[in-house]
Amino acid sequence: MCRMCDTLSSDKDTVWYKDPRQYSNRLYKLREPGKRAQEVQASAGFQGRLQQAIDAKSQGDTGTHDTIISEMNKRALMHPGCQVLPLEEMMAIADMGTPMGAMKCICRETTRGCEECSLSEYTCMGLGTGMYKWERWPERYKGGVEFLSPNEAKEWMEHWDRKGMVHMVMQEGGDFLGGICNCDYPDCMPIRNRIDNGLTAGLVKGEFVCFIDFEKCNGCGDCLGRCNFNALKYETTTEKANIDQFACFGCGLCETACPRDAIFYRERSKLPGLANVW
Amino acid sequence: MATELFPQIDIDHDKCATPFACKKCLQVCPTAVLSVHATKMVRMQENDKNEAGTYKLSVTFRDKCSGCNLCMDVCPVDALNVYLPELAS
Repeated sequence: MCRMCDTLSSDKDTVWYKDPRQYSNRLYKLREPGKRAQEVQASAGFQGRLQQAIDAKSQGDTGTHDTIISEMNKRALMHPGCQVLPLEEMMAIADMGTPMGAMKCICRETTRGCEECSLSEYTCMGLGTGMYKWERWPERYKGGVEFLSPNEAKEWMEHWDRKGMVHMVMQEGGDFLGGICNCDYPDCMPIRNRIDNGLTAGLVKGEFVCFIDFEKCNGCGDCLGRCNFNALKYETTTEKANIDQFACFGCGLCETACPRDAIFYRERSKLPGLANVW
Repeated sequence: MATELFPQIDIDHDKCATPFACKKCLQVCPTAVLSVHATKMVRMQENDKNEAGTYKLSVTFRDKCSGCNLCMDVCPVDALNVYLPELAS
């Protein structure tokens, strides 16, 4: 089990994001009389720290770089974070997560200036009753929010899976699961921070890893190009696809693209060499 | 003269006043080095992307800048300068 399950699951047999407690946030947050909600600050702390690390590395000071990154990781470990998960697991969340409001992705807004403003463009989704208050923060929810039924949410998830987006679930420290997102490298900040900058604590690998059934794989290549983690390649020697399970995050995008059912999942925690690789 | 490892991207924020409306550099960069952020987040208020200063362009990941200069070339107001800085001794 990953660190998220250790701290967030109510029993050890349930993965944290399928624990109903993650969806049972209070209907109303009561504030002290006269007290208003805190205005959201454009957060510069995290990015500022990362900038310092990158600048130090650029100047040849790898010691300072490594110290900052390890401090950031230590701090991130005290909070929940994001976890990658395959489509099937996402769909299970759609059955529990009501209310679900589809919205623009803030990462893609910042990295690419995307202005997603309708359901066919929204790639992110906020969960929980707090979403009903979205209109109070029109800048944060720029482009609007569309509330979806479980079936509509599943269709939306399948749509982004076909497009090749990695699914992830986010727990940002509140008392409930905050959202799910569909994004890709290099525009997704959690993926990016982990792969390029060694910020391993903010994004946890999925509960599953993918394997290829070499009897079934005919090397058609339909899965190639779907992997965002450099785990999947066409192996010329065997003339089939191959997956590096140590690089695999378990997003399952290769599995959903395979026309021959030649890719299968195994539980990370049941594989001795991967049980501690999160 | 020894240089730093990664290119530096200087942004002239006076020239680049409405980056969220323009966003040309953000979309042309192969490795998504740049980012744009709202400078204010106010309750019940949406920022106007055409108003100068409501968004700010910044360099987030200079470790992934190859120095290809595509952003410099595409910038309509000549606000970007990409170069490899000399190492301060």
